[in-house]
Amino acid sequence: MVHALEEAWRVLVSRGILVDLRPLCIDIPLEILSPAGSESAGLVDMSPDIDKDIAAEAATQAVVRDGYYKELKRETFDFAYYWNTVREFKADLDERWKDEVILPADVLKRALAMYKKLGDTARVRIRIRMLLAKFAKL
Amino acid sequence: MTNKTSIKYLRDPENNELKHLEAAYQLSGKSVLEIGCGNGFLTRQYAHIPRRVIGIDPNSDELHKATTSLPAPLSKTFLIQGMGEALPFPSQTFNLVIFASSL
Repeated sequence: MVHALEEAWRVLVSRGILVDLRPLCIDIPLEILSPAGSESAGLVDMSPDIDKDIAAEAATQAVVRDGYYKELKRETFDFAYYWNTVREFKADLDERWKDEVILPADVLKRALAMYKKLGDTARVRIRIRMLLAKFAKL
Repeated sequence: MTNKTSIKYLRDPENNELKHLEAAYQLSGKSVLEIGCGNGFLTRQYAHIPRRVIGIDPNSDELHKATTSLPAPLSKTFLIQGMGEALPFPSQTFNLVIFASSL
């Protein structure tokens, strides 16, 4: 990672800007939406990729410490995914994110029950916490 | 609440990622390198704004999806297979480098 950040430094113009944009491994609620609002079925465990978060933080801190960049800004925001049904959400999770996300059995059970109660008007949402960090080339 | 659709899922329909990127940096007229462009989800949202955009990703399947999903014509957008650790560009080429979920 540090090498990629150094490569980015090389191809940036003088005072160019680097943006680190990535999801954070923070547990997030599995929400069931209805016309009346949203309700959480429990937390989705995002911890399997926590080592990547730590490594990315260490890499950006290293290049700042070594004088390649100056950090200008750091913020987080929500990045939402929506599914029509809990089963579609679970299938997608198993297909694309099975190594990155853990859906506890009790949360799935609760989500299925909540969805069933609400019927076709319900939808499913997770809101991943994203990091945007901005750095200036020194 | 967003209306139901026939597609499997909706990803960031509020465009929060683009809004925060645009708030962080004025893209217009700039030369942008996106490292880890993947299937072009973010790239296609902002590719019409800068002077030039180059997306780079090691995964050829994802790059193919990116190529087919970019709105045509985007003659100033280029997608290249490669790694962030060995960028095939001269020094001091880009105003902005974005690591898109790739650190």
